[in-house]
Amino acid sequence: MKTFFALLICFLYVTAYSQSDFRPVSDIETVGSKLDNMAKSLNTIQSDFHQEKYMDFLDVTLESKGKFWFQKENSLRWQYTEPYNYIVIVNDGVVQISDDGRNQEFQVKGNKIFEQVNNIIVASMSGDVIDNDDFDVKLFENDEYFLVKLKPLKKDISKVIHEMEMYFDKSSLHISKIIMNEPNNDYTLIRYTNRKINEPIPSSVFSL
Amino acid sequence: MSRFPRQFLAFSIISFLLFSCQTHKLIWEEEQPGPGISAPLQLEKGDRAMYKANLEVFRNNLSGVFVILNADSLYKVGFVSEMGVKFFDMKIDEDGYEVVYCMEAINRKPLLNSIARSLQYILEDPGKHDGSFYATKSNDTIYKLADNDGWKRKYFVESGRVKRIEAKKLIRNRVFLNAGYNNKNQPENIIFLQRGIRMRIEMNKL
Repeated sequence: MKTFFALLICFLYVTAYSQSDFRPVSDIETVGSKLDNMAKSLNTIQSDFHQEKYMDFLDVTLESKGKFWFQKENSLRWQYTEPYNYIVIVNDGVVQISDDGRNQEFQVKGNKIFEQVNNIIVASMSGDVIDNDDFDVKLFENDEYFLVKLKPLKKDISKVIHEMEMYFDKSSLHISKIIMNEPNNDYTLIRYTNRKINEPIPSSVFSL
Repeated sequence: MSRFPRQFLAFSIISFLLFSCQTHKLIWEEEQPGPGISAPLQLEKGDRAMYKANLEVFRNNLSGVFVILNADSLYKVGFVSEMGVKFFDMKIDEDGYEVVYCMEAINRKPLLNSIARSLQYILEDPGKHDGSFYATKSNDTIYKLADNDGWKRKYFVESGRVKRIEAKKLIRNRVFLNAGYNNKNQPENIIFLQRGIRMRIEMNKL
């Protein structure tokens, strides 16, 4: 019995360790080209997401859920269904927001922060993150994931985001989760589930 | 119709409109010590309240989630967008407020003053003020009290709950708060109106 428990503890330890044991990727070019090829093959993505926002000052985690649609080149619908109804659509450089039936519209270009966040989301979903001049990019791996760490080089972004971590599933090369670490110990974690790749999306999805 | 009956009719209507409605003058009575009312938003130590909020100021619109935490001797308040971008963190107590973090785009003192003052009204226990006056009107009991910094407040209380607060310092500088309760201890929805900087915050409990 003692041996069983010892083995169980060893197994749990090894499993937990392998989850966090990221090492630098030795062959960056090969992994980079793999992610790049995957990005090129993507036309549409549909996915559920689960978001956790941790606020250190209040020691609280806000959880929300929703659905996500992306279509090349730059069409995005980000829809929260719990605990509130909130929709953000980016299409042809125009942002549309519906907040419990209250709608507003503005240009992405007029809003620097939104533009950058939008670029990051689109780049992360499509895997197109390695060749990004706005960030210092580092690549790691463990048995399960490729981890891309991005540090913003622009001051206005680094004030909001300290570092981004993107976890790509090794078998599919699709993004599994993103963590956005902020300078004040806050972070936003987004997990993607129920992904559908390259299935047609009606154009009505990208308008309110 | 001849001219005289028309003038008579107009005179009658104007007289009716001007003099028929008797003004209901409130009779203010002094109450010692402070009024028998408590803060609209009551939180036990360590408890949090979360509200989905929409903030409009000078035609700009911010939406997100307000988190309010009772941290013993003070309240901690955070406002974060739905997508996780933080607007501000602040500490509020009865003496004032301190901004811990604020996004550059909204870091304006008049705006932060107004937000903090509005939140103080829902968190502060007005029962601590001595020398308030009260009057009754329909189902409401109206309490009025004066702050040391020149603000005068009226609390409209129905069934022991504050449903409206009006505060004014100068003629133009007014704050209104409306609270709806839905049979729970904490307000289900709150609306703040700050005329001075045209601010409106609408909060719905999560």
